[in-house]
Amino acid sequence: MSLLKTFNRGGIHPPEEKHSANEPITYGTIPVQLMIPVNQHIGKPTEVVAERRAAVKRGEILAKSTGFVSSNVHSPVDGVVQKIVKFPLLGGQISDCVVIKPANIGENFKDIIDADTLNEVNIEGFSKDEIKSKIDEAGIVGMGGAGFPTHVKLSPPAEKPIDQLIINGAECEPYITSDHRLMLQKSDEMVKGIRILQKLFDDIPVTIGIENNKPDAVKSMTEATAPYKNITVQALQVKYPQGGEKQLIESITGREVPSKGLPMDVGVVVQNVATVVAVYDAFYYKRPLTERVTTISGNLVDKLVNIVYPMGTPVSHLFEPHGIDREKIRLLLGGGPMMGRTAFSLESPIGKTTSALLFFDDSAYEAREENPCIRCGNCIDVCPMGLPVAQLTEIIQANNISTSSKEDILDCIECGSCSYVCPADRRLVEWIRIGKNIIRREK
Amino acid sequence: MFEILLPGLILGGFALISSTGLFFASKKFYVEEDPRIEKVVDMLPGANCGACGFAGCQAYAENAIHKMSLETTCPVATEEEMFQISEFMGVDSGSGIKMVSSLMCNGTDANTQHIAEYHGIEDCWAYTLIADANKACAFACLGLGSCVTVCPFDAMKIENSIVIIDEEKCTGCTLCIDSCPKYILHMRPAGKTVTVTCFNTDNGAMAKKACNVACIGCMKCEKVCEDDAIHVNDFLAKIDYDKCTLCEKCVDVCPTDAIQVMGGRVHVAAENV
Amino acid sequence: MENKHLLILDSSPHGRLTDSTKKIMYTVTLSLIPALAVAYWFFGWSVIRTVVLTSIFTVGIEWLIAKVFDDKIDAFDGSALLTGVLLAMNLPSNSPWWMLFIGALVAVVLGKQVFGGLGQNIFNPALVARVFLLISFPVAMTSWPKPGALSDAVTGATPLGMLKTEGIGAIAKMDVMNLAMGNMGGSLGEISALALLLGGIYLFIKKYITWEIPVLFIGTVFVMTGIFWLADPAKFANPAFHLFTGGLILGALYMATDMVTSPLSFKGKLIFGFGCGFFTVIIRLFGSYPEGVSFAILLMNAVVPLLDRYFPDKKFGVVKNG
Repeated sequence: MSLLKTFNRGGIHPPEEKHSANEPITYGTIPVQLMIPVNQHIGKPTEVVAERRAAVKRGEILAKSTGFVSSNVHSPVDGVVQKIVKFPLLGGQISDCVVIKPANIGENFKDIIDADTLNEVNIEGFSKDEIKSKIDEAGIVGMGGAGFPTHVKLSPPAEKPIDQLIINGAECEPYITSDHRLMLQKSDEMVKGIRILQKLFDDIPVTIGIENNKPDAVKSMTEATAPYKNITVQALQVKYPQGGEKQLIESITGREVPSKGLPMDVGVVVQNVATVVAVYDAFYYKRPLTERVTTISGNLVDKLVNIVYPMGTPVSHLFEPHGIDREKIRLLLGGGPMMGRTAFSLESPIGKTTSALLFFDDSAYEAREENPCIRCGNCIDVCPMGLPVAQLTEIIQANNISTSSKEDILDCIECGSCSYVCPADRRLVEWIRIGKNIIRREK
Repeated sequence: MFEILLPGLILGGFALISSTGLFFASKKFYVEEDPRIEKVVDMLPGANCGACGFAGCQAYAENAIHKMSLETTCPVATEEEMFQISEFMGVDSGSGIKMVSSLMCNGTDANTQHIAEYHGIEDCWAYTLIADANKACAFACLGLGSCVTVCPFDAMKIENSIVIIDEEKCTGCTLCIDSCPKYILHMRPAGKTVTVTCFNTDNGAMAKKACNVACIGCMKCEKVCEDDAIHVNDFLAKIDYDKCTLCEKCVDVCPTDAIQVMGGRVHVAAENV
Repeated sequence: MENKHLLILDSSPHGRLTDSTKKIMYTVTLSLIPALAVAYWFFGWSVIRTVVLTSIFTVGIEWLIAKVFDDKIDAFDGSALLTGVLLAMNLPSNSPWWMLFIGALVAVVLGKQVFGGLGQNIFNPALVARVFLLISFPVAMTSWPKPGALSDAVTGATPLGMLKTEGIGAIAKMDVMNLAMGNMGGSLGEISALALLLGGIYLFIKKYITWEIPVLFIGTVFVMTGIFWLADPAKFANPAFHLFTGGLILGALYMATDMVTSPLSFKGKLIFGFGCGFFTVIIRLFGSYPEGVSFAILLMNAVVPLLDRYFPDKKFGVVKNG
C-alpha cells in the first residue's frame, strides 16, 4: 500500500471520521429566506445589481463581477429581493448579503433543479475564450475551499505553457464526503466537465487524484474515464494535506511548485472535482453556480447527509430536518476540522465554498492553554512545506520578522498540521497567520 | 620568582602593545560628531518610541541639529522640555499642541453583548483573522488589548472589555492608532474632553439595536451646537476640535449618551441648575 | 438573545493529537526504569535513595520558583522530574545528600530557570549540574562504588578512570560483555549499556527521539577510537571498550537527544551527533579528564542555535541551485 503516490515532506494522518460516505446526495427544502453573500471569492468585491423589492428569476445575476479576478453571484431560486444587509458569514466575516424571499418556500430543491433543461452541447463548437467567458459568467469559483475564481486559474499567461491538468479528488479533510459522493454519483458528468477543461489546453493529459480511502470512487472514476486515453485516475496514499494544491501536484507529477509560485509555474492547473461538475452544469444545463453538495456532520447531527441546499440557506434552517439540537451547539464549523473556520452566528448562510457544516457540542471542544515550546521538532517534521515552524513562531511572537523569515511565513499553506501535533498545545498556525497579517500590514 | 614574573611580563607587554594600538586607532578613526546632538538627546524624554517619525531619539536629535529647526516636535516631550531644547538651540519651538489618544467606543459589557466565546490568542489582530466582530456592534472595541501591548507609557488598560486611556500618562505618541484593527482610536487635543464615544455608521435603528449607547445619527447635537463644531455624517457625529468650545450642550441633548466628557462633566446639565 | 449559548470561536485546526509535554516527559522518565533496575541490582538501595532524593529536590525547587516568581510554571509537568532522575543517573550512588541538593539547585536554577524556564535553556540542565559537581567536588565525584559491594565504603575508579591513570594494562582483563551488562564502577545510571539501549529503542518507537544523534554520536566514537586502536593497540583501548564504558550510551540516548538542547534540522542533528562523538573521543584520549561525554554534549549544546540557523531543512519549492 505504501507504494501509492504521495507527497514527500511532512503530513499527518488525523482520524478520518468520514461517517457520511455512504449517504447518497439528497436535496433539501427551500427556506423562508435566503441570504446570499455577494462576495464568495478571493479577489475584487462584486457590485450589487439586485434591487430592493425587485423580482428575480433563478439564475439571474445578483452581484456582478467588477474585474478579471472577481466572480458573479446568481440567485438560486425565483423570488423577491427584500433587502441588502450586512450579515455574518460562516467564516466569521461580516459581509453584504442579498436577502431573497423565495417563491416556492418549503418545496424540495430537487424539483427546482430538475426543472432545468439539459442541452446537447457540442464542445468542439466553442472557442477557448468562449469557454472561459462562460465559466466566468456562471460565477464558478474553486469549490475546494479557497474560492478563487475558476476562469482566472484557467487563463495562465502565454509564457507559462500548461502540460498537465489535475483534478483534485483527494478530499483529505476529516468528516467531509461531498466530493466523494460526487465522484460516485456524477462521474459521467464530471468526465464531460473534464473534457471541457481539456479543450482549453489542447487535450493535455488529465489525472484525477483520489485518496485511497475511497476505493469505490477510484473504481467509479476509472470506469467513467475508460473511453478516454489521456484521462487517468491516480490513487493516492491517505495523508493530510494531500488535497493542498502544491502537495497534490508533487504527489502526482513529482514537480515542486517554487516558493511564492503558482501551479502554472510548473505547467499544471488544478481543479476541484466539485468545480468540474459546476463547469459541466454551466454548459449542459446553462446553470450558474448557485448550489453545491454540503456534508452535514458532527456529533450533534442525527442524520448525516450529503445534501444540496440553495446557496444562501441559513444554518438554522438545517436544525429540524437533520435532528440538530440548537441549544447544544457550541462549535459550528464551515469546512473540515483541520482548516474550517468557526462561525459565531447560527443564521450564517451556506455559500459556494461550504463543503461541509459540522456541528459539535461541548464535549468535542477542549480549551487549550499554550505551554512553552520544548523544541521537540514535531511541527517541523510534519510541515508539508518544510518550514522551521517553531523558530518562525518565536520570531513572530518577538515581533522581529526579518526578510528571509518573511518568505517562509508567506509560504505557509495554513494546513494546521503543526498545531495538530504540537505536544505543548502551541497555536502555531495561528501565530503564523498573525505573522502573515503583520507582513500584509507593513506593505 | 621568575615563574611568576614571566607571565606577568608577557601579559603586561601584550596589554601595553594593544592599548597603544587602540589609542592610535581611536585617534585615526575619530568621528567628528556635533556635541550638541548628545545634549539634545539628553534633553529629550528618551522613550525611543519613534512617534516623531524618526528612528528613535538619536535620529530625531541629529535631524534637529542638522536642520537647526524644531519643526517636527517630539510628541512625547512636555511643552517645557521642548522649550528647553529650543532655548538651547536658539530656535523657535514648534507649535506643539499636546494630543492624546481617545477611544470612539463605549461598548462595555453593560452596553452591548458579546456574540461569541473567543479562545484564541489574546490579540485584536488575531481575533480579526477569525471573525470580524465580537460584540453585537461590529464597530466596537474588541477589548483584547493590542493597543495596551504597544503603549510604551502604560497609559492604557482594558476594563469592562473596552480600553480605558489615562490622559495624564498618554503622551500622544500615536503608536496605538495603527495597532487597532477596528481603527476606533483617534487623536484629539488634550483638554478637549468632549468626545463622541461611538464609531457605528449603521443607521439609527441598527446602531441602537447593537448597543445602548450608540450614536444613532439623530442630528440633535448638530442643531444644538452654537459653534458649528459637530456634524453628523453616515449616522455618526464627529466633533471639529478647532471649533469646539466645550460648552457640553451636545452632551445634554444626546438621547443615547453617545457623547461623553472624558474625566467627568465640567458644566452641570442645564435642567439641574 | 441567547446569551448562555455563545458559540466558540477558535482558530483551526479544531483537533489535536493526544501527545502532551507531560506525556513526553513522563514517558522518557519511565523508559529509564530498566537502567535503574540494573543499577539497583549492582548497587542496592543507595540507588533508590539517590534517585528519589534528587527528584524530590528538583521538583521541589521548581515548585518553589513557581510559587515565588511565576505561577505559570508547572512544576509537575515532568520536566523537573526528568532532570532529577537524569542527574541522579549521572552521579555516584553514594553521593551525600547535600551534594544531591546542590546538584538539583544548579540544574533547576542555573541550568533552566535563569534562561527563562522550560524550552529556553541552552544547556542540558542535568549535565550542567553534573559538570558543576564534578569540578566542585572532584574527589566525591570520582570515588565510584564498586558494583555488588553493597557498602558505600568500598570505592574505586571507573574503567575509564583506570585507563587514564594506570594505562592500558589496567583494563586488559575486562570482559566486554561484562561491561555491556553494567558490571563495573560508575555513576548509577550509566553503567548498563544494554538496559539503556532498551529504553532508547522504546523512545525511538514512540518517536520521542530520532536516530540521527545517537547513531552519529556512538558511531563517531566507535570509528575514531577504532582508528586509534588500530594505529597503536598498545596505547589505546579498543572501540568496544569505549562504547560500553562511561556515560556514552546514556549521553547519546538521553542527554544529547534532549529535545530542548538539540538541533531541529536534519543536517543540524547529524553535525551535532558527530560533534558530540568527536569531542568525547578527543577528551577521553588526550584530555586530562577520563570522561568527556558531558563536556562534549555541553560544548555542542552551545552551537545548536548556529546549527539550526546555518543548516536548515530544505524547504518546499526552493530550487537547489538558486
